[in-house]
Amino acid sequence: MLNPQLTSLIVTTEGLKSIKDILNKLRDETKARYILLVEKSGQMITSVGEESPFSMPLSALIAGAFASTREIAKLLGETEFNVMFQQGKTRNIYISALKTQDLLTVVFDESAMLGIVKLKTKQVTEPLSDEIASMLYKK
Amino acid sequence: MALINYSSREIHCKIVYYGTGLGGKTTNLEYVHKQLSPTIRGEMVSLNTANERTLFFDFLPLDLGSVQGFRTKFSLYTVPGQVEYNASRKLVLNGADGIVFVADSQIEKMQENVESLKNMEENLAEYNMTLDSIPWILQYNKRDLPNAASMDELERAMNSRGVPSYEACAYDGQGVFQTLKAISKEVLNRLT
Repeated sequence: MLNPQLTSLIVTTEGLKSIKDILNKLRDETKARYILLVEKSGQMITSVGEESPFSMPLSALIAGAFASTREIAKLLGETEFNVMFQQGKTRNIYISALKTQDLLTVVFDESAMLGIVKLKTKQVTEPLSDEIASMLYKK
Repeated sequence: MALINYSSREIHCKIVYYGTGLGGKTTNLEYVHKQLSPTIRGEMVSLNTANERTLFFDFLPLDLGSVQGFRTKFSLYTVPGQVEYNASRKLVLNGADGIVFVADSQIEKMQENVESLKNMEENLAEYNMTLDSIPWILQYNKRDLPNAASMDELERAMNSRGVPSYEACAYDGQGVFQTLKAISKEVLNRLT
């Protein structure tokens, strides 16, 4: 029998469904290509939208990049930067930290508007954080 | 800090290869990447400096079969070994489920190994972890070099806790899979 006491996050079928519902709604509203939910250690919890063959290395790099900006924030006297935005020619990525320190990552192109992505992402950080927090094992 | 997904029946674990600069951490991952079939391993990602030294981390995802009906997925990471990159080292340790400490067997590297282990302990403390709370093993690399210290000396200097230790020449693959198998077993044992 698996021992949940030594783990930090146990993703249940019901929990995952609630999370995916939130992410799918966010994707519809923002017209994002896909959305990744990345655990702070760099592992992907789930994704919606287009399947990326690179979701695993992408998750590791996103967690690394975000962790790095968090340290930069500290060196600048900020508690943290809670969002990060990278703009490309055709693809953009918007990363927002949840209360649980996990990362909501929205990948979008020119058919989406940055303002909407920002607004809608902000609106779901609270319910998403609550969903994840309810699956976290507390010692 | 494993992630157990009951929906997809997968267990995700993170293993970090830690140790001094030029000790062979990246070489371990490169050998694993080279030897395993692309069906069970993903692409290796390396964040390097211009001269091929690890700047932030290397990352290699692996699928290591099933345990109790769950597929086990391991993410292998290395840290940059050079002293000045401690901030990056600390970040990579976040959420680690197990650590392989790669010690350079060369006698003149003994002090560096000891200091790196101490540094690892300090960085773990930042995440409220200790060498007793996380599964970790030792790999004595570069055993083939003529200036390699004896196993007795290395064990005395590095292994006061008596964790499992393995001899290796990561360059030609000796001991690489033995080490990986040992740490994955230690990590999974903690979960069952």
